[in-house]
Amino acid sequence: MGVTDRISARAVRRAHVLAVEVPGWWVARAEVERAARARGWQLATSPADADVLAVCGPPGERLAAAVERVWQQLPGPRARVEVDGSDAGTAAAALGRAAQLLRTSGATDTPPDHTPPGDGTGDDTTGEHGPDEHDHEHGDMDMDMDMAPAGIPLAQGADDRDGLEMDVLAVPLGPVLPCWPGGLVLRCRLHGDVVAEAAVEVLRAAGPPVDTTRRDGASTGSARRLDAAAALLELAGWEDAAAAARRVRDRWLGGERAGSVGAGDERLHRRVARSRPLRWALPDDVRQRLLSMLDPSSVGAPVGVPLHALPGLVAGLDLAAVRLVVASLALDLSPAPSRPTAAADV
Amino acid sequence: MSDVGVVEVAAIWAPAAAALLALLAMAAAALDGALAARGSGLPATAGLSAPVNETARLLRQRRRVTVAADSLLWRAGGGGLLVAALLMVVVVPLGRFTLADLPVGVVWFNAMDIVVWAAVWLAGWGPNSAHSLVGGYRFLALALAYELPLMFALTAPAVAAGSLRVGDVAAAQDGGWWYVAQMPVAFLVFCLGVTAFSVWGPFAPPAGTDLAGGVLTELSGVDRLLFLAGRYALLAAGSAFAVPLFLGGGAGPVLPGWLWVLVKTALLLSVFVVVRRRLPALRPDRFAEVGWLVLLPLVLVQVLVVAVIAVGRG
Repeated sequence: MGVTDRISARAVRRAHVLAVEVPGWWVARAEVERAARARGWQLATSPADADVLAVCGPPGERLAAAVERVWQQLPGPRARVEVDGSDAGTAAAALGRAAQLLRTSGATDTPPDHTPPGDGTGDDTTGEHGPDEHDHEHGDMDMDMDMAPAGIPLAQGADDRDGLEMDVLAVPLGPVLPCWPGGLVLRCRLHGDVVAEAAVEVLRAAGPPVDTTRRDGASTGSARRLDAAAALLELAGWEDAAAAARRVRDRWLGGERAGSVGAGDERLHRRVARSRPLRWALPDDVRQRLLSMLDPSSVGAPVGVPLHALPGLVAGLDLAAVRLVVASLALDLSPAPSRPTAAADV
Repeated sequence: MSDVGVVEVAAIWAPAAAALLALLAMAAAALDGALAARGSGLPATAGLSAPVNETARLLRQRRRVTVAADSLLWRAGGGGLLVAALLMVVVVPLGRFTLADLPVGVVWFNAMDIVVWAAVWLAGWGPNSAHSLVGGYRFLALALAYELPLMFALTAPAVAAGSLRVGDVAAAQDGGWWYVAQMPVAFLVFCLGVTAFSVWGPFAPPAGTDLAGGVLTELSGVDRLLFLAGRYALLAAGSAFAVPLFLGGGAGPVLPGWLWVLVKTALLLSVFVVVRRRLPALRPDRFAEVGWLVLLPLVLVQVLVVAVIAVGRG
């Protein structure tokens, strides 16, 4: 066995997975996360960090375009798999295929193209900006005489919340972002790291989601609650508690007996409620919502903020707070009749 | 041990010091991997190979290229952490032996931790990416709050020992109480400073998940490896520096001085790694308040007390 093979074998034992959640397919994403954990794999924080792109569910046309752009940003060697979430084994099988692809892809895979202009972040992946949306990137820092270095026009200024003139950046959050509701796009105009204004839309699936509630004994309500809590804890920077929440979530999904899982559920709730550092680190309302997500006795219904209210909620907050607030709302974007504002995609 | 003073060894030993630092950094990464594995329900032993596997993965991964990236400064920032950590351990005496017995060793360490400011910010600036840049500025926001308390925390042992030479500070604790017991506030603030300039634990928001990795967002392949290794190396270097400053240097029974230094370093490093798992991230805006209104006054009072005692002793 040569050195290259040994490095490959080692590398594949710790691949990083970027899971793309199509709205309505959160169970498939959760199962990818569980299968990744079982293999000792890690969850990627950005396309540059990822070796495996796992697309959970059938993306609609625009979401598929976004996924394609994310795929182009994976540095490689890389592997891409689709998970339909029809039953619990598909995620593990898909990651097995990914491992096989990764082991062999080193020699054949072509390196990704340069990122398209105006696409500095791993998240600007929606692939359908008008030309007017490119004129606010921070190209002003280059002293290029043509005023559009690398095809990125200079930023415009605007007064921020304190009346200082700041460069204005157009930064979309989503649709592919860890710990973020799948398919949600929040087009933000940033002053520094403060969101001045935002517009919201949802990139949809290509079809109705599979019915995950029919799984034998799986408690999807409790699992959903803990999935949202795990995302919020991860964003708060408390990895261990997030991992614990995912474990309890996976046990609910796996259909274990309610009694034994419920005890673990309750323990996690107490542990998070007791944490003084967390009390200090999170805004009060976010912490309250987190605790109600973790509370086994709560009915499990999320806060129920309508999508069109989101821009108003996040305006004036910095990026960290925006991420916490969005995660604390535990938005459910899966197709359902009561969604007046979301732009239909397919 | 240190009553004979420290001996400056030839520069040819520098690679050995670097290897020791790398070993400590690897051990810290392995411990973190084991704790993470246990946290996610796998046997802890499954995580021990994390640093080796991760290194293999990153050596195999290609470098990511972004449009209009400032490649030179980006790479300089990514590699800068490791360089700063290596330059820090140059002044740490391993028992009697040191690579550079600088008369201003304490100031040298402080200068190196300022280099980290530049390195992390440049790593955020380089890729021309909004998330990275926000991460870089987050680090500066934290740094503005932790740096002054850290500077005064470094001052306290130097004042008590009456010398900025690291070997003298260690020797001054011989036969008396270690400075960790004499000036606990300074020690705690120093530990906070070390975790902060290592972008570690509660001070990790510059590389936070909420920014899709912040300064790490666009780093891949060997560039990411250098940055991650640099973080662990800084944590190890900071722990090593705490030993002569607060933990009595090579003093200890039975074992030779150099081994005691390593044991104490490893212990403090493990504390940093373990404590991280119990804490969420600090929001930079909240910490600024604490840094300026709580830590700075506390550590100033600590330096005042130390100074008055030092003057009283004549």
